[in-house]
Amino acid sequence: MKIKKLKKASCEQLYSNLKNNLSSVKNNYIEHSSEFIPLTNGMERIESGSYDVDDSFYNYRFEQIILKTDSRGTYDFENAKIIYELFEDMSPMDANDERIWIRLTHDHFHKYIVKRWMTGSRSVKDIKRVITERFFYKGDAQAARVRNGISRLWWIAHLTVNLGEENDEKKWALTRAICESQDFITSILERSLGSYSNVRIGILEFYLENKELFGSSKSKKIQALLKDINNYGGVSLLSLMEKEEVKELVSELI
Amino acid sequence: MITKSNFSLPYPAIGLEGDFTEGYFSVKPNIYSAEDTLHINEESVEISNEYIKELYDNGVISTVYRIDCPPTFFNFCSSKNKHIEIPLSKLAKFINIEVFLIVTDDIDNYHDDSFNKDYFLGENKGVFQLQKGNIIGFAGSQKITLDSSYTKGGSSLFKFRRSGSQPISIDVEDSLIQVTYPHIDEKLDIINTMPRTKKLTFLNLFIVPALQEAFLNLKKADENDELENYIQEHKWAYILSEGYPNYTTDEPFTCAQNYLQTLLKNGKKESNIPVLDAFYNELS
Repeated sequence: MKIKKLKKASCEQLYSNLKNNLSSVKNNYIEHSSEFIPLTNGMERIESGSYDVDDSFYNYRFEQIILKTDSRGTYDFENAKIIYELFEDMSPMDANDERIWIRLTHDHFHKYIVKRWMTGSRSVKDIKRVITERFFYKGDAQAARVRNGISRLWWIAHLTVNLGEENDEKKWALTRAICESQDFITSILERSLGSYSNVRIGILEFYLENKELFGSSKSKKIQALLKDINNYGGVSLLSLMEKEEVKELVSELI
Repeated sequence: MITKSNFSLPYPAIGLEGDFTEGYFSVKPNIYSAEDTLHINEESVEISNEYIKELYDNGVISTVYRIDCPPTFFNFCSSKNKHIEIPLSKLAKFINIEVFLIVTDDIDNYHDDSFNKDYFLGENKGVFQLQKGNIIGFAGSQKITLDSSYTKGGSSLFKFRRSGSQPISIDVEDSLIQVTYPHIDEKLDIINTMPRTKKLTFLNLFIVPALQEAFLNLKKADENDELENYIQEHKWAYILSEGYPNYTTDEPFTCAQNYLQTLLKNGKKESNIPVLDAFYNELS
């Protein structure tokens, strides 16, 4: 099936509706009914530059690409793999184009985004913030890429997959590892140190090889570890270290 | 480059405000794009503090370039290469370049009178041990916006085709602007020789009219509300629309001249509009 990008003006219109008319559009973002109509219906799309994707996950009746989910990220690994394989021709430069992500969150993956990110009660201000983060793609910082509900899955996979590995288990080992904790995803990928492949892979490999060291308070341990690594980067350039040096550093800090 | 403030290390670092009583560290890299690659060359390193300069000259410290592109999670860091090449396909929107001085060999006795006097107050009396990899200097950071004119340059806009004795023609329907030119003398390859030997003639005869035609079509697409599709289908349209946003208001001939001037000026000294250059040359 062919997925077309929205026109930039359409993206701007959606955002403007949210910014200026939250009370009218709010329910479009927090509910997904069985009579769901894609939020971009009637909006202009670009004819060329579309993506041809496998439709085996597409439910034609509900017009949704089906991803299993709960609100805690239990299936983030499986979904990251699916998204990355669905958009196998996408390059990092292509992945910077908000027009495709906004189309996907508002149409094909609307049900997934609502269930994954929009459950629970929130203040009006908070709802607007979460909608902006998860449905849109605002800004040039790394954080925007790992906050949009679908682009984050692509980037999680892209930054951890070992494309040179034939064995599927080993190919996706680090993707599975990073998805075992939401703290990994936010602490690594939302910080600049997440862009250093030696650091990113060094940390994840260490985690895989020494899971017992993270124990039952994994979340706190990961947060503290990443904070310490970040502080270490204040006096020495993390990006210059070899991967094994990073792993050695992690073993000292854990 | 913009230098750091509101930042401190547990020892003096050149480039941090107040850490040294005198001296500075600055670099002037030459940054340009060519053939789908971003090039960064270290051209000059200035260290005016004698103590740090001596460490640098003795190889105990070295410059390090860190380039990152947050939109694509790309990061590159090198202390060995003074000429860095990065494929533009790995980058988007902008990059940040930071330059540091780092310790390449442990320094057991990092000490100098040019340290800020406050560093002498502690137990160590202004003497520090630095390890390999420690940052010892900041030259600052520079943000470079990667618009298409910068990354692609003029050479990625055109292709040339020769044909018998037909007049010069321009075709903008493809991803590149095609210039078809008459080819009469088998011994003379116009397109390879003319840019070097008769640059102004080449620019005014082929490039300015080609750009004019291109801007005319770009403007029409915008007026017909077909711009996004048009840009998607024509690579040259993407480059021109980013490189010269005023195409919607300026006349195509004006756009062509101004845009060409921008391309010719890129990274070099000022240049005149080629049409004017030729005019002045004929007068003199």
